[in-house]
Amino acid sequence: MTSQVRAQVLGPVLAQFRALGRITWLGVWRGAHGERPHTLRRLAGVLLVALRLYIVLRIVYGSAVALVMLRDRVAASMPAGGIEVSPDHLSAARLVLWALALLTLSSRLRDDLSAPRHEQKTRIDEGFLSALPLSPHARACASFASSAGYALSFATFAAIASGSVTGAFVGLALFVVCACAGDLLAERAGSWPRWLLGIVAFARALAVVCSVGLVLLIGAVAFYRAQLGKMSLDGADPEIFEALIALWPADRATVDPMYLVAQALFHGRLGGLAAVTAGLSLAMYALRVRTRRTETSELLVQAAKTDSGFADTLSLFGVERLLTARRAPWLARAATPLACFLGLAAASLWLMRGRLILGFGQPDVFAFSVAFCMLVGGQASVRRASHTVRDDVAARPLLASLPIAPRATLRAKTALVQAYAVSFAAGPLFLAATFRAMTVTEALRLVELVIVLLVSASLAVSVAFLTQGNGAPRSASLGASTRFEQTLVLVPLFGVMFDEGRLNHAFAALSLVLLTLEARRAAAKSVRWTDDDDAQVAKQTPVWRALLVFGAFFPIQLVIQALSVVIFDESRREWRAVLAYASSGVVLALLTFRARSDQPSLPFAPKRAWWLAIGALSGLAAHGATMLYVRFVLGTEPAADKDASLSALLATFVLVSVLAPVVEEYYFRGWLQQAITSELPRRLRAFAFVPAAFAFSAVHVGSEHLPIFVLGLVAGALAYLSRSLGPAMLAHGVYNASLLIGATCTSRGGA
Amino acid sequence: MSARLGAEGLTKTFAGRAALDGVSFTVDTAGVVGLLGPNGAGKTTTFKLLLGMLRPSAGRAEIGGHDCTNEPTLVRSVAGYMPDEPAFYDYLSGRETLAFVAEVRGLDPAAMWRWLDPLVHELAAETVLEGRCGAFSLGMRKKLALLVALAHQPKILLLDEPTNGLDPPSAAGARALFQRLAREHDTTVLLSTHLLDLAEKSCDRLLVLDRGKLVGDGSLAELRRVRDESLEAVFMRLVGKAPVASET
Repeated sequence: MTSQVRAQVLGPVLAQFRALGRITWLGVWRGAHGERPHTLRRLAGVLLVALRLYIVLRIVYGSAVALVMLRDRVAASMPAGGIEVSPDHLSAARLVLWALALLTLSSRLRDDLSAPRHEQKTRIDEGFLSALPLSPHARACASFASSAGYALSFATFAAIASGSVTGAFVGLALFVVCACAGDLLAERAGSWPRWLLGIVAFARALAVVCSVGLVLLIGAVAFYRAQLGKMSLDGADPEIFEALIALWPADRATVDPMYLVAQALFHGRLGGLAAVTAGLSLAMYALRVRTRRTETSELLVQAAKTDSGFADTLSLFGVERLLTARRAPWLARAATPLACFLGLAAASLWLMRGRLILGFGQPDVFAFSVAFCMLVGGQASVRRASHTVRDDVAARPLLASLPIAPRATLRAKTALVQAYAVSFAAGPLFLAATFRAMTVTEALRLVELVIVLLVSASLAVSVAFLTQGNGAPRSASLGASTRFEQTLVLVPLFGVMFDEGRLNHAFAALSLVLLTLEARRAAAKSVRWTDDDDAQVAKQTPVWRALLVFGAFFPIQLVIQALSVVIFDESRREWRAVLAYASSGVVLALLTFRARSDQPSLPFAPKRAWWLAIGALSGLAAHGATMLYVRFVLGTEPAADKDASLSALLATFVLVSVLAPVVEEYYFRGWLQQAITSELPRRLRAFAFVPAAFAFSAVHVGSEHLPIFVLGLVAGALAYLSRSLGPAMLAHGVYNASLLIGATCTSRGGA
Repeated sequence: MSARLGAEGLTKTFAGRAALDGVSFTVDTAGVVGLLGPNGAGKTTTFKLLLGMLRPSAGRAEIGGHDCTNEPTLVRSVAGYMPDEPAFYDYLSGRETLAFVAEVRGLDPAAMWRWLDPLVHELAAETVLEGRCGAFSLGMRKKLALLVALAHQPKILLLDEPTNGLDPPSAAGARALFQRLAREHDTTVLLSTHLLDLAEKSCDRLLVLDRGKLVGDGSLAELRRVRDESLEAVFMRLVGKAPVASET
């Protein structure tokens, strides 16, 4: 019954939720803020309000349907045949949800295609209400209505997850009160003094950071409990819990603290912490729009004018520092790292009180806090880097006339963003230093955190120049759009955060370093302030372009995996992975085929056929080496999913031993390795397969990197020596096939 | 070609259309050189090519012995450039912007201010120093851009529409300044303008561009076909819009 409720209600509500989140923030009204005649803008604003009200009504309707079903569930009087909901209602709701999804998709597409100038982009944050000819009261009412609708759907979702209708309505009331209070405050924020804005910015950051932390913490609890075999999560359904965690919008720089209502309700036992965080978050959520606006508003500029003492000398670094100081009060600037520190301190105190039963020891809490700071610090650096690049783009006529070397610009900006990023290490350091002596492992992890923050700050600056620099921002900013560059930044960062074992961490960290070096090399080309468009001057390196295409591979895989729920239900879960990989693999191959035209292509068949035999034997040898490593160094045994059906097993076999080798070798050896070769000095060209193998292993997040690196080396050397892709594909295929066969035999045999 | 300022067959095409087509000139002496031409003739493109902000489709340009395309940083260190539409860091004052320029160019701030202070007075640019750049009008931005271009006392000055947006007294001050720089400081000033009055009063030599081609090069006296031919008549004739009457 639970799964039925989930399938019928939770799915649509989740979809609504996602759709609304996107529409609210990435905004169909975005276009309405362009440079159009005033009347048109207003008209567009009115139309969009109508649209939004329509959406709210749909959500209220959907929520009502869900609540009816929930009532049945709670009363435990469900008929044997399922819940009685008119099929018409559900299909209508589904239709609307599809329309919403389509609308979101099209608006997103338009955002990416139209590439508005950044001046317009900053105005998007003002929210749609400011575009309307409404009185403050009417605005407050409109805001209330949309908040209420949003909250209702959310509360419904929360109620389903927690099984408590009362809890849902308490959350709803809390939300509405907070949202309205926030809106009323926001109306007045325009006239607030600078210090008060600083405090607001700080409170907002605290709320966001706490909400991120809480969700991550809960996620960690769920994960560790599942690991320990304690699947029961205090009576709640672990899969709903997972769905809740999965709601996390991965492509958003900040978080919708409304998720916290669900968290607070779901974990009624956490009461205090969750409620405080949720309440604070919600108030700040409503303030967010306005605060973000005031951060860059005239108001702060006015305040900046009253600052005493002009700087006499301003280096590139100095100018960055001064501009940052002028842009926002210090509390607003330090808000995120401070909030991160305070949030972790509060969380650790809470943990010490023993109120939160984690089921794992203190080192894991420390590991969690390190991962948390990596994530928040990484994202905050991206935002800061984006700001500094925006300043430079605006001052381009000045900079273009000055003798500034591109690397000097990158260095100065990187130094500032790095100094900021490293402040995020304070939280875990506090945690480790306060409660007990730090272990060697923890000290190493802390050093790793600092290195990762330094490197990712540098990467963020380079990526900001690559995406926004040169006077021609490529696509929408706001830290919200999913760009291939961001995926590339995140993959190694997640690797460092979540891979297990020191060797795997080192692999991920090193790949972050290599990626940074390449991004920096590419960015140096885009800091030259040339006016030529992309077609005339290459502003990216061939290697970076190749990497970008791989950046497309991950999101495509995730999206297809998410969409495949429609085709494959829970019982055929393994097929989802097959479908997702197969489709994204095909896309990768097509993109490679289309975009690698600047590189000499390698033929598939070698000139001498015996290279194929060598390829197959090398695959077997690499498999043998892997087995030795896994058994004798790691002390484990690879095993496959023993419940998988025969057909799924067969499909997996075709996937890993045919499709994956062909696609991956075509990309890694056929393009990336060639691109690296073309960039290396002649005497080093023979070694291009080493960085290619490294990239090959680094993208396999969650796997043991060393064996994959070795396989990459073997395949790369084969491609280089035979001047063809066939032997490398064969080696890869044989390796994968033997690994799968071995694992299946082990698990079936064991069973 | 090793001149102060020179171009050799300089060509730039945008989407197949030639914005500049085989332009060649050399400037070896101090003086004020006017780059004249109707809108879209390729004046700003010439400046951007000289400064290395664009890569030529063919030909080359050189400033102070440095190749404009391959050594843009060196070119920018010897030349001063004032763009047509200046922009600065919004949150800095004019004084801070100049402090930044001094630091980036490796100038001694005190020496820079000793040089700039009289110029500030001459251009009536006092208000430009203390206000925030983001709030400047076009005229104020032009003044600050001129100060930025002059900060390192360059021997080569590239000025794109320098008096555009300036009030009449400031424009007169700027004109006098250009001539003084050329006479007393051995400076080559290349300025683009479509104000024939400015060109006639202050330029020693004129380069006339039309649809990307150099159609006239010389002093006003050299460009005249008949005595007392006005610059306007010369200009109209060169850009192909000459009234036939002026020929007779």
